[in-house]
Amino acid sequence: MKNPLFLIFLFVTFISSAQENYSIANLTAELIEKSNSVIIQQNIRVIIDDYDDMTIHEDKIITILNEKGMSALDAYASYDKSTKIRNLEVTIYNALGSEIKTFKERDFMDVSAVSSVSLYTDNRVKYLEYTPASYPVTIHFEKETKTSNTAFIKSFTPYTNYYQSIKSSTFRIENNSGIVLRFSENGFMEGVSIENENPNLLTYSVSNLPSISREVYSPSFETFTPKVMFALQTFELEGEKGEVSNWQEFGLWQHENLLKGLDQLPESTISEIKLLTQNLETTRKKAKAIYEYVQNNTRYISVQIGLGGWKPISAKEVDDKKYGDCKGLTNYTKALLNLVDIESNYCVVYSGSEIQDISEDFTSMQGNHVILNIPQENDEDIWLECTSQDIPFNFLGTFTDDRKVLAVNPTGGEILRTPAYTEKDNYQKTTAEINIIEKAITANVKIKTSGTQYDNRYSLGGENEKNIKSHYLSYWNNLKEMILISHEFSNNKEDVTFIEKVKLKADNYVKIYGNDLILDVNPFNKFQVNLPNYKVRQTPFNVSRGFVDEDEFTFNLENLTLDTELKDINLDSEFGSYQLSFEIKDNTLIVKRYFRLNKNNYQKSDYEKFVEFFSQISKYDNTKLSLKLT
Amino acid sequence: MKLIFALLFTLLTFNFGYSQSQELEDITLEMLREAQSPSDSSAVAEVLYEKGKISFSVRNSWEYQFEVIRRIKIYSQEGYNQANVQIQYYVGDKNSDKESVSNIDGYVYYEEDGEIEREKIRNRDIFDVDLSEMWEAKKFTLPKIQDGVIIEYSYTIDSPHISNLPKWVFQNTIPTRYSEYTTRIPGEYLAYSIKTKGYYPFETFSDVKEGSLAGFQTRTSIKESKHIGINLPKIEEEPFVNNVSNYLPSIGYELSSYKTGQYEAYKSVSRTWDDVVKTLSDTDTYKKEISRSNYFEDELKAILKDKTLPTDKMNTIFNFVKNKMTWNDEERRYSSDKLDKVYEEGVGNSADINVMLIAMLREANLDANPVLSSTISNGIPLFPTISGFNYVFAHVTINGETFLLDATDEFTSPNILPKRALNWTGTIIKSNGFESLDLKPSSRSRKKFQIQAELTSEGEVNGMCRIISLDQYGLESRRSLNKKSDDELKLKYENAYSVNKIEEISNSNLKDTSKPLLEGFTFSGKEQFVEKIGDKLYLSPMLFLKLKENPFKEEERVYPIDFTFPRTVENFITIKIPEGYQVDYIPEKAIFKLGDGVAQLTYLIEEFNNVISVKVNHEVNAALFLPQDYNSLREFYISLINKENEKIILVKS
Repeated sequence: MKNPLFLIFLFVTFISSAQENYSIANLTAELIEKSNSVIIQQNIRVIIDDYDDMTIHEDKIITILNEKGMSALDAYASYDKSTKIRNLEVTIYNALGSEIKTFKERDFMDVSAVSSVSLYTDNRVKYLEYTPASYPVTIHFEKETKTSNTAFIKSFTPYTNYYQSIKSSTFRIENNSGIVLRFSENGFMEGVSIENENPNLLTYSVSNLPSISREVYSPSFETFTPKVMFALQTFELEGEKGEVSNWQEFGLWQHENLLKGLDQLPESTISEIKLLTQNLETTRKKAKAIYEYVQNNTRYISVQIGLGGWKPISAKEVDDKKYGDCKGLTNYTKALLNLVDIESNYCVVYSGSEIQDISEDFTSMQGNHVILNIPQENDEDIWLECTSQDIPFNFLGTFTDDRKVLAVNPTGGEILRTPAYTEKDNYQKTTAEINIIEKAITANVKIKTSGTQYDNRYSLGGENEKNIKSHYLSYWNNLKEMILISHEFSNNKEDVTFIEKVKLKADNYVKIYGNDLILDVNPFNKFQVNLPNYKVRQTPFNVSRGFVDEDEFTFNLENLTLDTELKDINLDSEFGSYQLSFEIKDNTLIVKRYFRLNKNNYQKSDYEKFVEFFSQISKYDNTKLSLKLT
Repeated sequence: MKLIFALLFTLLTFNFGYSQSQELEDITLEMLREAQSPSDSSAVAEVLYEKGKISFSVRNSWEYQFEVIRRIKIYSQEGYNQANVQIQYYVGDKNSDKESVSNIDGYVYYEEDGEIEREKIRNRDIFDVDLSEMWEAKKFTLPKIQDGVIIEYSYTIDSPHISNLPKWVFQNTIPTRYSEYTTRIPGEYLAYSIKTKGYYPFETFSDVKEGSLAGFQTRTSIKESKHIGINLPKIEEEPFVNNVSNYLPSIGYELSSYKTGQYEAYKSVSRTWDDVVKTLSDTDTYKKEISRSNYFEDELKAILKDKTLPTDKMNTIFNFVKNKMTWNDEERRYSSDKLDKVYEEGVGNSADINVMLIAMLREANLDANPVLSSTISNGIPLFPTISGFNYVFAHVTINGETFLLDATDEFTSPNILPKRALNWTGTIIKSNGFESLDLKPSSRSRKKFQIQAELTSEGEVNGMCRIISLDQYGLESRRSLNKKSDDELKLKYENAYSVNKIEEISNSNLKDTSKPLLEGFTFSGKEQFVEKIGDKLYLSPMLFLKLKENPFKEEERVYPIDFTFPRTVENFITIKIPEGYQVDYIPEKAIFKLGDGVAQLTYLIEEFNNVISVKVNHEVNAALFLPQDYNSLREFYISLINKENEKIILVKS
């Protein structure tokens, strides 16, 4: 309290100058259009004072235009043993800019950050529970946290929410530590003004960015909006110091600090594994036996304490408790493989069906999941997902396919790429023999799937009768009165195919209008995706995994004659191709269908053609014939 | 109301002397080797035995101990999550409110080399987790889980909250072989009223013995009641069930009266509706806040200045509160704070807003009273208990006519309550007593679709559609239209009706709930309405208004079918057919009735001067159907779908 007057003076000017900012009157139509919230002004400052001392100051003024915008407020702060909250404050202003309420740190809810998938974590979070009386409302959110974990540094990503526009946003990183700060800008920096006074004081700012709407088939934000990542050459992670400048060193550090010495196993397990593999000749067979041993003996449970967020529990503990998280189970599998001299790589990856690479040209702590890689000399590498008890050996599915990962091993780190599924890999073949009995049909249907289509289907094998029935009721929801007579599944894990053999009856399949019998030629594989027509598509789009479907439906036409001329259909475009052909043979009608959807990235200007392509296929998949009784 | 009670109430059979109560057996190899549940071969796990036991002690005041033991057999991987255990307990914000958990024990039993092995959970693997400000939990997972293992865990919760004993549900998401809830109540001191409900029966055995209580000098009589459910199937999820917990076999105890010393008089807590009313009327919310008017007086005077008719006053006040206040999504029976503060902030829970509404209505000399009720998510109250109520809204009588008002939703209107409140019954609290009130809407909610369309010779259908929504449909549609841009609405309609080209979207009366909500748009489409096969055109006369999916796909049904409100939907469609075409086939007119008209489809169609007119009405005249009527209801919907999907054949003339 050296100079209380000065303090008060500062406070007053702050409020009166801020009020202009808080009024929504000067928001342009471009910022409001299709927005649920507007970032009026955001200032993020990251100050690095040492390898174990980083302060992040966030000051954000955001106008919430409607109820849906509230979720974009992000008024929370995470903390744990190494991250402390220094300041947390929210002030609410009405549409005219007058203050209506303030919240201090003690007004925030304080809970542990346990998600539904994890049993326990010592991370905690403080968040604000607030319902505005009316909209729009302007919220000033201030947060300051201090952490000794410098392995992760906040990235500059101006867009973090759909339907949120940005009037002004500035990100400044200030490195006073004397340690080399590296950074990497992605290829979408146009519109970002960059002021890099020196390598240790970098400022990025954007202004008047319109909001982005969520559109179908759109890729992740970072593939079309600006992003800058940062890393310190010397950093700390939960008390462990690291010093790296490339992936090789980074891998080595991870191995030394997070993995080393965790591969010990009890004698009983060692002999069990030796016994299990003693008569198997090839690496592949041994690895498969061990993978299945892990699948049969463990389950996935996540417990995250301190460094446990990054460090696996030991192989010995997994062996004893028969559970572990992705790190624990992967390390355990690696340790077991080691027993029979199979080298494997512990690989850090971003998981999820939305494909995200570990950024190769930028060494930093990345990823949220681990998998195992077994290098093969004269063959393709083997990849193992160790957290699932039922997926086949060497099958990653859409969870970690087609992306760059960091392999960590005693000699260092390297970037590898997981296998991608081609259109042909994701294959489905449906064959059906169909009898027409008055208005009903009975059919024997066989569906064989592989690749990602296998991934969508194989779990049927473990479902109960009721769920299997509801699966087919919804899979064939074009059959309004379907009765499932029998089903038989075979899950061939060896070549990763799943076969369904289904017998069924569908009443009222054939429609009778007057003397006409109307037959829909495609009962069992209709592609009916009705894409929305946007006035103007804003974002690019991609099909991240394609597929090929082939179908052959054989209708028995005894006592029936065809009353329609048959015309084959052939459709080819950049998005894929489609064929539908008809053949009459020995009183049967054979309908053949082929549909390939290409894997590719597209410009937003191609979207209209994409909609048209889907709608053509929907139409052809509803082709009908007219029959007459003979 | 009789029907509802018949549905929920399973008869309690009292049987002294003979008891079917089971003790935990030792685990055998046979148990470990059992590969599937004898009652349900698809079960992923099964509760073999569970028991909750309540006993009382006196320390500073009355407390109860709740001892729980549960033994679960794991059959397959999908059942492994049964080994993840979370024990929730209340901590509140006062020390005297805190519950505590002790004696946590967990075992896994498995077979190894032909022997039964068991492993105990270690203390350091039990974690403390905050669930919210008021609730915490102990969390653990059992090790060594494999197909076939049996897990067993037990714990004790000590609680000062004797006014409600923990509710026990005899059914689980997996089948349950044996489930027991035992209470040992010192009847000389504590009296409880018991709530039971459920679709499957459980049995009760009671016995009175002399016994001792912890912290108590003298022996006293203790009533021991065992409630036992045997061989209960897993809980099924079905559509058109508002809250499945209404049908689960369960039991609750609420304190009705108590005394602390042997020679004291009983203090009544809640036993009859009179007691509940009295207890509630004594709270700040229903004593002070409901009659306080100083904070709104001036504004009320201003808005009522020109109003003389009582209904005008009511509507004015109702709209005023709806506009002034925002609901924070909390369903509560008590106000959160002094109402002048809430009024100033403009945000409140259901009691804040509706008690304020009642206070204003009373200030305007209207006969307004609170209706206490239980929302759909809270389930159905069966006994006169305070905790069975979690919601309140207003009841107004004007010249013998009654109006129900709920100001938590900006689109409600008099007698059209939001769906959450339509939960069978409520209780009106009046100054001279109380009255039960049937909340199931008896009048049908109405919706009308009107389409005028024209088929071109190119096989395109162009038309305009008008939708008129009233009652519950008005509320539903207003909510879904509210604050949506034209682009969003276009997508919404295109999605809802699977039509690609929707234009010229309009609506009126969105905010004026006294009038029907009107929506309109133009549309055009080809293949989804008319198909060309050979030379003929096959036209769907109902266009996008035909029902596409049967809501009742499953062949069997366990629980009643709850439509929440009776309804009628009218469709009127005219389609002009192109020059040069004539009708070759037109579907037959039909009326389908379920029972004596409890549901009905009227399908009328005709062609005159190249214009096809279609009139199709659906009616559902009851809100609730019993499971035994399920088959006929399902059949009714199958016929309805087939009828609505029939086509007209047009040929070149």
